[in-house]
Amino acid sequence: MTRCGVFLCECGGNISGVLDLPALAAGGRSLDGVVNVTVSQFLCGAEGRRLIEDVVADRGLDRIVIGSCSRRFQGPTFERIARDLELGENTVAFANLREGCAFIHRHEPEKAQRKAETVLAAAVARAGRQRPLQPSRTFLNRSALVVGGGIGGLSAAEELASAGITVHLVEREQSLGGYMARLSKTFPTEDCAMCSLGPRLANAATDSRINVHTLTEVTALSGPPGEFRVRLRHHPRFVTDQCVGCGTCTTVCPVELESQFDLGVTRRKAISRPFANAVPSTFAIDNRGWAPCTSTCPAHTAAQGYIALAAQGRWADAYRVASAPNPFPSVCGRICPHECEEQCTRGRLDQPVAIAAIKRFVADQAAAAGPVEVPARRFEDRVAVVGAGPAGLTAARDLALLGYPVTVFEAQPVAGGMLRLGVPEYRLPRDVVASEVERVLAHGVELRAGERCGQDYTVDSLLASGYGAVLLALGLPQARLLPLEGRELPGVIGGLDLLRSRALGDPVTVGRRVVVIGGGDVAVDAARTALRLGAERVTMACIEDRATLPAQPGELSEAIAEGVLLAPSLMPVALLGDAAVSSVRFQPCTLAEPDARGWRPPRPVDAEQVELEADTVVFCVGQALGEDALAGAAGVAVAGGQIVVDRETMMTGRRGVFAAGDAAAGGGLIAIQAIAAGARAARGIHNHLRGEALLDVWPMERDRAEVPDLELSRRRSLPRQEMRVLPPEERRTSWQEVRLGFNEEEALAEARRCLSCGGCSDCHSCEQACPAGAIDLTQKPWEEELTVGALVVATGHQEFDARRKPPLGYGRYANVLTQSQLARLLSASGPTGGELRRPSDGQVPKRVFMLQCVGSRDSTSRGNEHCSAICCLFATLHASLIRESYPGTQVTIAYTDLRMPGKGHEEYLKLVAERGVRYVRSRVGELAEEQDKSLRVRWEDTVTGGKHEELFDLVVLSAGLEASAGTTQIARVIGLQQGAAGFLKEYHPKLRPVDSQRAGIFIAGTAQGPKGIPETIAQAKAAAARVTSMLHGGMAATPVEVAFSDPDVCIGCGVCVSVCPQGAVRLVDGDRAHALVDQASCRGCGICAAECPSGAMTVGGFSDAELLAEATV
Amino acid sequence: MPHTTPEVDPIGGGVQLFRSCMVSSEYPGAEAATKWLFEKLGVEYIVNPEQTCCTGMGYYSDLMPFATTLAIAARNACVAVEAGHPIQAYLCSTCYAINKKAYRVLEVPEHRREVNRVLAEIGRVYDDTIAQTIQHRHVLEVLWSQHEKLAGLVRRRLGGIRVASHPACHYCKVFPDEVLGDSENLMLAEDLLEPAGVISTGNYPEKTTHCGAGFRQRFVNPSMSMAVTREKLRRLAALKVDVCVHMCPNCAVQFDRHHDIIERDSDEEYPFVHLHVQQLVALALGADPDTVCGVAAHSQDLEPLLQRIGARQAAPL
Repeated sequence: MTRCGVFLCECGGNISGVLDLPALAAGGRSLDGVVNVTVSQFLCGAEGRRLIEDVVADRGLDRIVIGSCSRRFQGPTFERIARDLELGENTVAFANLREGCAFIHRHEPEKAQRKAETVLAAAVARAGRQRPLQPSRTFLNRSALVVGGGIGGLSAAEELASAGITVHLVEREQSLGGYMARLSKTFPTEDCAMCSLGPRLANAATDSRINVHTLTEVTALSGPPGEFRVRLRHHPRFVTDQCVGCGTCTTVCPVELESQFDLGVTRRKAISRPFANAVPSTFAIDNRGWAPCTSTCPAHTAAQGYIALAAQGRWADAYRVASAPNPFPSVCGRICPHECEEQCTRGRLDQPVAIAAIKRFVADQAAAAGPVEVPARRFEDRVAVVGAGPAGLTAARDLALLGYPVTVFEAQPVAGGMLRLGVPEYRLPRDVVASEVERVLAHGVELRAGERCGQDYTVDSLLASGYGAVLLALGLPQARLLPLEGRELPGVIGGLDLLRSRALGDPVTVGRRVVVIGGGDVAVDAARTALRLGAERVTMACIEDRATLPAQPGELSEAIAEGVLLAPSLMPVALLGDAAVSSVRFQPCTLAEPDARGWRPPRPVDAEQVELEADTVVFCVGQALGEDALAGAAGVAVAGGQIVVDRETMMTGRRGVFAAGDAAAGGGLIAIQAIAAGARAARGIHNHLRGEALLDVWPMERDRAEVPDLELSRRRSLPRQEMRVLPPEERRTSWQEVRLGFNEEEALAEARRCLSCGGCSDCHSCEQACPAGAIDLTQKPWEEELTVGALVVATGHQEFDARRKPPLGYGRYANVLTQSQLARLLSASGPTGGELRRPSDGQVPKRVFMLQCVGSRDSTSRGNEHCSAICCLFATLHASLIRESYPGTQVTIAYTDLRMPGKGHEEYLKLVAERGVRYVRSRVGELAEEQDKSLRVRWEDTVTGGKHEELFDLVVLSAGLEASAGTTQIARVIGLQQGAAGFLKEYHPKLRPVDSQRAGIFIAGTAQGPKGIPETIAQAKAAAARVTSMLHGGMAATPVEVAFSDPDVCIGCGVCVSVCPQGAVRLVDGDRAHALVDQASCRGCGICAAECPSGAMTVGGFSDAELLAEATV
Repeated sequence: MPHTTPEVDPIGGGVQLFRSCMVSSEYPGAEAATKWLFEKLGVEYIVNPEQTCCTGMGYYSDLMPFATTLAIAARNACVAVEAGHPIQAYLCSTCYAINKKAYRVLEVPEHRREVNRVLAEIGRVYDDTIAQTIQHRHVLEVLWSQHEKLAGLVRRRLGGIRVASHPACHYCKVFPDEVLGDSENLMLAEDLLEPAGVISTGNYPEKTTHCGAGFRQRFVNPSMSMAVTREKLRRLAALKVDVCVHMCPNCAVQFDRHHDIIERDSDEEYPFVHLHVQQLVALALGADPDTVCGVAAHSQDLEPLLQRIGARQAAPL
């Protein structure tokens, strides 16, 4: 039998004013196991402690029942007394007489008394069942992680470092300083923000105990307090420590982005440093991934890069970027189907940027880039490239650039492949191809034209004669004819033969009536060529319907405009004629479902056959490898009409022999795909010849940068420049280029439509300009894991997005700013050098209106209910600064209530009001912009009820505070609770205000709630003190109220593992799986015990016996 | 541009088109155009002869007590549910707001008891079944639920027509958290008209400003009423709009009937016209301006606009 003493507390009248404590004591004395009942005025004070000590000693108590306030409030005080009296852990029971009885039933004392009697009896019953428990001890790592590099995080880090604790200071942005670095001055002293912050930054940079990690995020947390394992993800800066901060890079960077540091009031370059004294001082590149255009392009051409440079008229630089992955930018600017434009983000806003047309203009300025420099020879391994089409020539150039001697063999008398012999000159002038081929050859590439593989030489002979590698870029030069009756008749020709003859200047004639069979680009080219050769009637007949025709829509519509007739959904069945072909018979058809290869075979439909008269029939129904091209190439396999290659190396079945372009499996049939394949082959050959994987054959994929709809909707619509074309009647008989291209003015205007989706455009201009060689665009994100004893989360706040209040015009009206933006304008380091200029016209505003409580004290669904605490002072500070610097400017502050408690704040308000700032207590309606961009404001004076209307030059919104995105992210990752507006919840708002809900993790600053700088610093130092006291001894006692599982009863189902919010339970294997609780991580919430189906899990102090005793009195 | 109005589940039927005294007496074409659109979009609906006026005009003009309005709203809900068409679709934003308000008040037991005491005399009861079945929707919400069909039904492109919307206060401001979109920048009308190729002004200065009607204010306090209307007309003129579209007949009366008067009195020019959203959508879909859209009931001359959009020729099939 236990000996229990009951101690009742009057709580200075809080309890005794409602409850009859003498009566309660009398009742208590009759309870089982109670040997003494005492009443005290203040049990939690020194006298109360002495009383307990005396009674325990005199009466030999081994259990204590405290009838006072809630256990959460004063539990630790009395548990400590029991510990000091060596009664052991779990020997105190609590009856909540204050909050549970006296407070809540203040007006019903009789009910309160009855409840108190029951609560006390329950506590006594529980005490009789409580069994002493043993606390455990944990090793503590004497280091801490501080998340957030603002003034809160810096202060905590500084304090911890001075206590000898190693600190890892993690910041998402590129430099430390947080929100305070953006401020001009601080209230109420009006001293410069940077004057206070600067030394903290310098300290962080120089203190050897503080390790600064910028551009870093916490991605995972595990382990117990004292030995937290934290996973960090470091985002690349793309600039190394060699950066000397000279800023040369920013002068050459062509990409301008909204400056986040200046809160959008100005723009900055994609490579930047937010402010002069930034820590670290290294610049950083804002690379958000591949822009959709770059991502879509088979060669991953940095389209955003050359467009950005083109927008500045830097044609030579733009050419460098456009030609880097592709030696044929001028060609591709003309004939590429430009899927990049289909993916262009601007297409979601108005029309896509005319990427191909810009590229064409840029590439036509190649001369501006100067002559090609012959690359230095680095290797002696000779490479033979068979085929001088886009794939072969791209590979040849890239291999030459890598330092190899390259020879290109070409069966035709001229180089260029299909670009020269397949695409008609009215689409792609001969001199355009010739000039780009010349630039490839100028890299020191040898061309041997007129030599045919399989006849004049073979793969075997090339390898035998000392070539280290052979690339087969043979193309598919052979036109396919369908096995139809009458195919041998004169007048039946292949489309490629027609185009090639025309291109080589061979005599070529077509009849009066031409039928082209096929629906692809070659068919369109053949049809338009036939027109230009004098045919009177040209019909394109194809098996597809109009909607699924594979030809590029632009080319097709131009052909139709020129007079080509389209006969869709027809399959040819016979060619008719005696001496020569005279007509083609067709069966109407539809397309069957795709087969395994994606091919949709024609299926006849029940309809009469049709016959089209024809003097010439041109087959454009597919292409094939040249005959005998692979003679003497043992080991090179062909499947499906293409050479088989290993996708990862581009090598064929024969070692040292590679294939790319149309001829190789996986190659597409458009130029840019062939170019991309040629480049891959060059890298594969280099890796082969060097005997190691030096280059990625397939470039490392990067995330695709997307512009969110909301951001897009704020961009201005700009019409796309339309390209001039020759009129159809003129071009149908002419070989002159149909599309006339942009002039410089059009190219500039079009390039300026680019939205810079990817941030950095990958133009490499900074890399070329940096005198310190500090740019490294190959950097990748990397992760590391640290072990730390404790965490301080000081991830700060963000300003309420005033766009959520559309009637205030923020984001729409130039002269509506937020207080933070005004802080940038008033800051000496800001975009105006501290001069107040209104954004629309740069004039000093004469009438400034400040609107308080934007998004704060707002019970609608678009705002927050809380008061943001600092806005009244923030507005007052800015009003004061404006009045001091611009005495001619009137400032009006429209407030709900003026709330500025705190030392010196009321005095400051008085001072500023005396400086002539007008304060009006009011409710404000919709703001309206006038023609001169001034703003009409209407308000109701809430003191007098009067209505007012005035014009202002500048309106400043005191947008409230919300938890930052970083706070939400870290809360999710490490399991912290968030309250209203996302602020982190503290363990107890009064007694443990910097403890989070998780042991060993502390919170500080505006991540916890709105507050000013002094309070943030105080809280940060308090958090540091909590960390220091926790880590000081190197060991910590774990409280007894933690869960433990009985391994003999546990069935190893794992329910406890899945429900534990702290991640403190895991399953271990022994003889059989059972749950094991990490007692240092457990916070005793009891969810596991409640969920445990076998009854193995118990929480210390909450055994079934204790709870049942308490619940059944 | 991607639309900002949120997607909703399609409403294909069960609609009681709630007739409006203002629409019927002032702009019958707004109702006819709505019916025409419902049929085009495959929305099954009824016009219920049992339905009575919502009493909003009388209530907001302080002519009748709310208890009367409440009982009538309860009765109208009962007849809609009895007819198996529990989605009450409102042509008028006053009908919308007052019925929604009544719905809320009828959740309070003592008010419901009092109303049911009256309804008992006509053998009806507003119970939980009615409350859980009845739905209150503006007709534009019903149209929006079918908006994906609109693009394929456009027969007259409204390319080059600049459109601004006047969001009705009784739609946006009485239950701001229940509107389809942003109550402070409603884009419902603009998004409905987007497939027709209009140029929308989107948000504009004073978009949320009242029409000025204020029920009896129009009559007892005309100078203030007209000053508010004029302010908005000036803003819309500065935006060079061709049409201002409305979602409430009260606003339409205030603007259409007084547009020329304010123009004359102020010696200013507001070169644009007013239409209900449904009328303009119907015109884009090829509706007849007279027999469907009832343009003759308008005070303004709509002929130049109708000519410009080709509505004076038969629409192509």
